[in-house]
Amino acid sequence: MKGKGFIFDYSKCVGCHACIVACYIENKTNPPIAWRQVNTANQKKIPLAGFLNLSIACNHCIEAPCLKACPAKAYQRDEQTGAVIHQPEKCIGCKYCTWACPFDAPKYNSQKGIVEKCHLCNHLITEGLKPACANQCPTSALIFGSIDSAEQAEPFGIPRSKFQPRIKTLNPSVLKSIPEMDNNISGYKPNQQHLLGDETDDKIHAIEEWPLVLFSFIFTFLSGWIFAFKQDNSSIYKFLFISLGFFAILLSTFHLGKPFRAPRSIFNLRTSWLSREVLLSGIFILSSILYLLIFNSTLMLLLCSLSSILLLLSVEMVYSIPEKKYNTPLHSSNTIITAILFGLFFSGLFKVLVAVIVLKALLYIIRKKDIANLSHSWVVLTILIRCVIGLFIPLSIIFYSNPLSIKYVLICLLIGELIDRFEFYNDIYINSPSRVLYQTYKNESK
Amino acid sequence: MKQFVTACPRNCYSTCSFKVFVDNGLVVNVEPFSENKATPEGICLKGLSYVERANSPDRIIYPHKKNNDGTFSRISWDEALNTIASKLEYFKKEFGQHSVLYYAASGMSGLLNDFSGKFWKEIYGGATTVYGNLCWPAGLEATRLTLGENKHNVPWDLENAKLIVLWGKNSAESNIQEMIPLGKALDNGGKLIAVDPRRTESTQRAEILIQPLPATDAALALAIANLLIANDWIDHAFIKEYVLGFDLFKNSIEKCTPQWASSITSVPEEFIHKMAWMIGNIKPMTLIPGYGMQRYSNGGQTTRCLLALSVLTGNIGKEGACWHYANLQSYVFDDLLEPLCYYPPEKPDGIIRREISTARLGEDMLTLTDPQLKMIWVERGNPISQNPDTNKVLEAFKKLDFKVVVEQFFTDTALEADIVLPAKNMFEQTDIIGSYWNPYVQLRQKVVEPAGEVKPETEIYYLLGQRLGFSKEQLNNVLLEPGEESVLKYLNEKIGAFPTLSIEKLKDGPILAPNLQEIAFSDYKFKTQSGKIELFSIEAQEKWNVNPLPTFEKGIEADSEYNKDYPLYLMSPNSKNRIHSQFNNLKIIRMISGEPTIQINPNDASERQIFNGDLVKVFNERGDFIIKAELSYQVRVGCVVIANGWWRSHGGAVNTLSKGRETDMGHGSAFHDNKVQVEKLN
Repeated sequence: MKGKGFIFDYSKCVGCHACIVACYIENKTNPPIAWRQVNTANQKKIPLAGFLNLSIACNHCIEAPCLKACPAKAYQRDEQTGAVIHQPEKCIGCKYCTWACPFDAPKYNSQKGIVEKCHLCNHLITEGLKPACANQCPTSALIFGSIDSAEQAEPFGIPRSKFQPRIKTLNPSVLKSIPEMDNNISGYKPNQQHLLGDETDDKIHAIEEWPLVLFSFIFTFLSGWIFAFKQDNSSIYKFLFISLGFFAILLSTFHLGKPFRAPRSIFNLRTSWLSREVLLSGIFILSSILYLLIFNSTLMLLLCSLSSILLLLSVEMVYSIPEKKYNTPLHSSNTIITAILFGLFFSGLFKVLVAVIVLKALLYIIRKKDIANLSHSWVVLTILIRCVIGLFIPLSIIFYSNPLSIKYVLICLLIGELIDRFEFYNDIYINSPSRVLYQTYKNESK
Repeated sequence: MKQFVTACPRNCYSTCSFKVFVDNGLVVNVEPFSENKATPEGICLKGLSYVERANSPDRIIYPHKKNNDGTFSRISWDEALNTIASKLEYFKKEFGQHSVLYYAASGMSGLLNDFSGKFWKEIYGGATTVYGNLCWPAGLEATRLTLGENKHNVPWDLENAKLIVLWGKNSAESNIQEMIPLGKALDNGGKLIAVDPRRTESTQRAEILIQPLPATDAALALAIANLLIANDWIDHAFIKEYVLGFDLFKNSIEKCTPQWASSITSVPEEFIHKMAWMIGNIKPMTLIPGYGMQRYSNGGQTTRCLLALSVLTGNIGKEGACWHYANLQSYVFDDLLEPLCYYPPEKPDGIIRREISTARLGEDMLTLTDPQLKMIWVERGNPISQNPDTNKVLEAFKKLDFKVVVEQFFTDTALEADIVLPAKNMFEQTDIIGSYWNPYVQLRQKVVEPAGEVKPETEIYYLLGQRLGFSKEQLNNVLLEPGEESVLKYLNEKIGAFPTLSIEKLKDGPILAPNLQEIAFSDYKFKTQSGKIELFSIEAQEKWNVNPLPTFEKGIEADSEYNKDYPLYLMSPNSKNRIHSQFNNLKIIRMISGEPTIQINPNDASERQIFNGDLVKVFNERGDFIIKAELSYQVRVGCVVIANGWWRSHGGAVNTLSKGRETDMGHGSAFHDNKVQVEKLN
């Protein structure tokens, strides 16, 4: 039982974009933001492969991932119509829903600093009317109707998920309709594909996400550094530790489109790992302050570690949503392993540290071997720097330098781990209909 | 909120009926009007964008004059009209009324447009005007010479076809509502052949895609005709009864073998054989030629060759079978139908000087003497970007002393004006419109008061007539008195001759054209000189000095010997995002249309070291500009594509590269006969 939703017929859609204009008129969206988009498979019309268009907006999933992931409880379901509705006044602009949704439905409006999204024209459907896009489609490729049938096939051309999207697709076989055409005229040579440029977008780019990179890296580092203060009572370092913690929290706040709504980010502890992450980062900093400044006891250290482990666990859960380009369950930039690395360093357990560095090296190689595009010289350079500075030099110093140049080991580890963390953001991506369609036609054309 | 039924008056096949909603005097929404059987679903993206267009802050709603620094300032109607009137009087006195060029194009259709011509002829006492047309006369004339009339089956009959040949037409973009019956025909087991140098959206479900070089379609058609005859896949009874000149035609194409056609078109012989088999053996067939092919120097003869295929196979006058070029059956009010009304008069009346060819607008404006042109009045058109040879047109404009442009937005042409007058939009004055595809007579209703100080053209002319010293009584005899009342009175008189039509009924929705033939030529009456379908046309020879039989003639620039410096065929098809140059200034359309690009096949691009997204220079002897390269297999090797209708001010005005040249018949514009070179910008 799914109720009403969008029914999309691939054989009727000619990619005319009227649905987008209809949405714009009805909902007064601001170009270049559009709540609906038309994706294409084989936009470049590569011969020997078919092509198709897919008009898609929010599918108002039964198990809506945006609703669960939103830390600020900005999403709400209309119980009568089933529409998943985003409430702009509650949105903090964290963009986490744009990661959680594999259908590319929530759109971040950088001018307003909040996300916006299709609401199924809830104001129209409550009156028994149709959403504007479906109402105005010139070829009736997009209609709004019952999608109750239990035997409904998996919708074609959109990411597979457990979210039960309320969309039904018809006639995807049109992708297999490939007219007979002459290859000399079409000029097709398989080795020209690189000229065309890439058609997909990862949606997560390390450069753009640098506040998040730093936030997660700083807390990972602090989780290890806290062990240094068993012996070291230097108040400068204590001050630095606490400042770094506050800096990271501040950084994450200013990453929001609506920084002053930051307190809302812990409103959804029940289902949002992001809410939990935010709360636990606060708890960790508070317990660290207590430990560093007031109760310098082993018990307090244990409490700090416990909160840091829970924090890093929630960080890992937050990053479990994006898809990974690599194929290993454990990767070298896992925050818990990295925290252990720093913890071992600060506890002076160098033999175990060596083992962890070796483990990291292995995990790094396993992650990179499948995905690194070695034709780009900067990729090769990054990998080299990460391995030499972050792994090889620290090991060399530990083995051969006597007395240990501890300072240099730390600097090298920091540089190496930071690079790894940055790279990690380029090794993950958000699935989307355009990516799925791209893959689909590539598979078809093989 | 009030609701009205209206119809889109753009120069577009579909001419959709739609509902418009008005709130507080503003257009707030549009919706489909399903009772029009040709446009039963939604209107296209451009139609939807009327809500933005009608309320756009960029719209010109006051008269403007150009300042010395090139900017525009708002002026009063009094100042505008007095300035224009005194200029008109001055030019008439000093140089004669023929020193004023009245130029109107296809920006808005309607019966009231006739009053513009009446003003110039009967109030001002004459002017210079253009003959010919930018669009489709070559194909219209070719069809008229062959079948006697331009009409085709109703659009929804297409679903009865078992074979559809989309020959140079991309319905998905230029006539999206046609995709509905086309899809139904394919769902019912029909087959689709697409002939197009591009792999367009419309080819998605095609069985076979034939990609000839531009301007060589006639050779392809003649080779198919040759195979149809050789294999006896023709309709003997039909030919015997209704066709003139079959034997002559048969003899003339004996040498038009697939091998011959293949060497001209670059289409492999096996494809020609397959296409011929399908055309010869799958019935009924509807052949749908587009309007792009006939905008070549050989366009009329090309059209005659294609049409011969429908004739040979007897696919005329039956359900699912027709030559689907233009359906003028809803133009019931016109005394003289297209293309005949485009031609210069055989005996000029001395009042209107019709000596400028639309195709050669710039060149003819510059060379016309006795008197030379001093002033231009432009309405419903944007000749700077839309007529061939933009640089030449611009040069001709700059030489004039005084320019008036009636416009809704600051187009390339409006920017050249000395005075810009605000033009009405489709919601601000009632009119009746026909369509060249959709067989209905429709009412384009006035649903809002004109924005700002906008006045309909009929009123502008009336006020101008007063400034020129005419009394109301004199003007009322010729022009339309301002106000909706006189408009309705005039339209009522117009439809009085047709009992099925009334304004009241038209307000509820479109009405099928009086005396409509749903299946065109089902009476097998052909209004040619011989009363038969004329494969052999003496009239063609006498009137246009072409071969009386359909023949393949080389396109001027399509000839590979034309100029080796410019090896690429430049195609400039219309896009779904615009009607010629209209709509692209709107925010929502601009978002969808992106930026101007030149599409180039990766094969041609790699020869020039061009990568996707590179800036390139495209040029020929007419002009050049810089544009972004889009590598795509959508366009065949040897061709590049810049969509028609980009403004100069947006970059990519494609007619900067085209040549002002007439088609072989009909005084059309052969601006698709156009070759260029593309270079990577360093």
